[in-house]
Amino acid sequence: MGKFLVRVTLCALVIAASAAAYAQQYPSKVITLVVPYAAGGPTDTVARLVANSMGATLKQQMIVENTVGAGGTIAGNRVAHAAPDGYTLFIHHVGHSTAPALYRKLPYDPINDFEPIGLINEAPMTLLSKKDLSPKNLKELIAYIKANKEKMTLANAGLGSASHLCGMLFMSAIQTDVTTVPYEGAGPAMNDLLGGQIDLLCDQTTNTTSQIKAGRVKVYGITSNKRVASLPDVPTMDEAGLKGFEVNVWHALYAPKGTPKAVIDKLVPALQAAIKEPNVKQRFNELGAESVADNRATPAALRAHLKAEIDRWGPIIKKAGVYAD
Amino acid sequence: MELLGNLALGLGTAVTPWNLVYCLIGVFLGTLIGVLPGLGPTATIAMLLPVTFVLPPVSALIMLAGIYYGSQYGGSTTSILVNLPGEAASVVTTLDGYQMARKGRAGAALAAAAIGSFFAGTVATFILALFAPPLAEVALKFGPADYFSLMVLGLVASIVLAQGSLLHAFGMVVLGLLLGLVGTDVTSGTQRFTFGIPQLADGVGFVVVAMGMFGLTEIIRNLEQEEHRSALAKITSLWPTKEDWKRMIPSILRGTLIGSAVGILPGSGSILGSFAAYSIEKKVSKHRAEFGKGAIEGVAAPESANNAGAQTSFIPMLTLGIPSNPVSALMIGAMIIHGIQPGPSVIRDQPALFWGMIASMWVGNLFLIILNLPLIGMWVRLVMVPYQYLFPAILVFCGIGVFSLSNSEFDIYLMALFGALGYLFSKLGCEPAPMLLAFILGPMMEKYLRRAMLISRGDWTVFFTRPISLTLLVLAVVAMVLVLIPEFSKTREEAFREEAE
Amino acid sequence: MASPAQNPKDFWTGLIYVAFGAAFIWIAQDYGMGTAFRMGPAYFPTVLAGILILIGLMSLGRSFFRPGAPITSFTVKGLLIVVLSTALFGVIVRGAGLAVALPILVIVSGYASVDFRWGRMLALAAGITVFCVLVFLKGLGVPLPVVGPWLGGG
Repeated sequence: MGKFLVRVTLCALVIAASAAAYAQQYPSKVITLVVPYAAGGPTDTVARLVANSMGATLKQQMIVENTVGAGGTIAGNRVAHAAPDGYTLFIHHVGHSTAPALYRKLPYDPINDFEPIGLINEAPMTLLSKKDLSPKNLKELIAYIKANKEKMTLANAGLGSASHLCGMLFMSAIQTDVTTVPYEGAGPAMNDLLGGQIDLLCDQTTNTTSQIKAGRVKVYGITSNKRVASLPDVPTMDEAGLKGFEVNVWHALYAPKGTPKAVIDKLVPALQAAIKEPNVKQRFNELGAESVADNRATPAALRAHLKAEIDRWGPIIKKAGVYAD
Repeated sequence: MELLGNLALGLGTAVTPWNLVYCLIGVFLGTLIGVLPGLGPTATIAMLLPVTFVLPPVSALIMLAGIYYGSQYGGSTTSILVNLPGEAASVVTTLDGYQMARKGRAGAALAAAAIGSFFAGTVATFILALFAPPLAEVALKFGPADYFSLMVLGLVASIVLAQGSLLHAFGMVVLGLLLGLVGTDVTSGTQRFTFGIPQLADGVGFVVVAMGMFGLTEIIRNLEQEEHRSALAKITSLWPTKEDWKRMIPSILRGTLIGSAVGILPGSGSILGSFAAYSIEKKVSKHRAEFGKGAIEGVAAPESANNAGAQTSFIPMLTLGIPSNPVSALMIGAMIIHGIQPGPSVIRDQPALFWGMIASMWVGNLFLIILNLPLIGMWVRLVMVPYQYLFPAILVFCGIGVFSLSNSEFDIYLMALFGALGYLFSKLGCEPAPMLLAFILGPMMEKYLRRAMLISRGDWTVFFTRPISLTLLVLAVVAMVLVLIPEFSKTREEAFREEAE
Repeated sequence: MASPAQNPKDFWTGLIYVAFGAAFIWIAQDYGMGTAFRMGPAYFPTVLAGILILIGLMSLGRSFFRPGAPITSFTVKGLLIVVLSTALFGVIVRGAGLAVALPILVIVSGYASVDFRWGRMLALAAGITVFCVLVFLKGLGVPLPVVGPWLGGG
């Protein structure tokens, strides 16, 4: 028995020692950052900026791998079951928290199959209407929608997209349902809004800022808790009369469950350094996004945020009765 | 005058040595992937996108655009030579281009495609420069109901493509629409007709169907009459004859016009353009009987339309920042990565980029024709390789090409299945071209239909009360009547003789 | 293929169309039909499949009245060889690698030719294999092994 204990202890010591040694060496080879969307998209852009900077801090190349399909769940599944050695990381946006509600057969658990590393940035959304809709502000718009709910149409960029989430939240906040028209991506949805084929659209500032500035659409509010620099004249939804209405497209970094704490401890400061870098910050701003504060780019903050978002979206999606599979 | 200044600015940007190099790399790579089956421009651009992040934005966009229209061009080469349409828009080119090649006129067909493409590209560049903003506004006027009606018109017109029985062609169109629906329904998330096979969740790839029903089917058909095939006609000349020129010039003009017009419509533009151009040629030509048997108009018109449409399809992207196809979606991504916000402000804020890209399209077309005319001789010799050596090679390219689409063996099996199906249908006198058009349009048509009905709250009259939609539907009815009249007036003997051919 | 009708092409085409239409309708029953306002995933396919059945029935009916040419020179051998060699390529390509799968595809399919000669076919297979390895594997980065794991390669 005693011998056994000694052996176990020895084993444990060896494992601990090697893990420590391992973490000291980390990263000794190229790190792969899995992006669940195609190259060139907003998430991909965020990933590449972060990967570049983190790679420089860690003195190891960080390459971006685009694993596309099924609303990001294929990539999620790939990382959930990857070796937890810190060489496979995962970046995803708010969709990571809505996947459990949207996919009834999700092959992984967004909380328990991952080690959170930290939040990266947040991009607000804007509530838009076609140019010739009469209401001048959000309060008028809400009254208008309630009076004309039979005729109104609200576009979204596809099942589970940020614009879909924002639209669902808006309808539940004003307690009025209008006809939802799904599109395959933000581009076609914006196209029909510009052409006046549909009435309303809520989408990320990334996609809407240039159309707002060109005066081709009407904007009623921005969904962040304060105004953004790129659109200083646009009130927040809260200011405009919809108290507490806040939606953000947030990006975050994850590792597979079981990744050694020592490795995570190296990744967190690298992430925090990346999102503070002026170049990265500026590019985020151009995309309409803002880096989070240091205290939110941490595992604890991300874990709490993810859980809160899952709890928040779950009931809204369930109530709307939409599924992606 | 402003236009000249703008074009000068554009040319100034496009002809800097490095941008010329990137343009050349783009069109060369494009031609290469167009000729090789499998990988299309979307996949190539997606693969190369990270490489372009280190380039200046103008150079990156010039190269990516070059890949796109280069591949459109390269796709027509294999359509003509070996009946392999690598791109949706070159399906039509197989109809007469391949027949010309079989008659020893591959050179003339390739030259017609090259010259038509260059002319169309040049005209479309000017259209882009002159009218891009107003044209984009026109495209915005199209609502979901209008798109649906446009596709109805396109499908009715595609029946004209068929040689044999109209009823069978209608059936093929409906079957194509149905097969196009296989996969995940974007609106509800339901997986339809997938038999629980995960590889079918994203639908059946166009290239898989095209390689099967054109490439493989053609091989099987040739095997049944191999003796005839090896007696391939001698090459008469590499160049179009005087008679060819006389016949193809009006076709190129019409094709350019149609292609440019339809190209600005997002999604379906460049595909419908080449089909429409072919259908119209077949109706207006004095040599109607030659269509499907090697009429040069049947190559010149759709190839011109295809290239013009590829060019004008950039209009919504450049002026509104809205992607009209997967390629321009990736290019918008490239702009975002470079910190350029695509949208209406690009013309104002980034004139060098906007006009540089437009000018580079013309330069790229010039490169294409310079690159490809000398290659015609080489391509033609390739077709002269005895068929028993050529067809295993085609089979190999189809196999690897299809595998490379999504690195899956499943696509190879599916291609084999479509090859068998295509052969069966060809023996029954049912042609694959209308089916393939419908296959691409199927999911789009359904989306527009559902969207139109959502917006109209279930009111079917929306298709008749919107002027654009009504006009298109009236045109569809007219086209249908035009198609049906000869069918009804045909005597039994004529019908019998046609089928026996 | 013989048929009881006067026009075998119309007859068999009609039959195939009806079969496809019926299969699509049958499978689509599992999906929601919805309404014209909110069309479910079954709506469009069901309508289309109905039209296809109608076209098929018209073709079938017509086949008994309007005579047509028989179906000629159907090559079962060519069909089988092309389809099976392609499928075989799919089965072995990942395991055996391109250096084995490509020559097999070339030679098996080449066997369909009336003028099959070993020497020339082997030379062709070698040429094609080298070309494909260079272009697709080295050039385009298609993730396939030259010599697959079945033969000890990686």
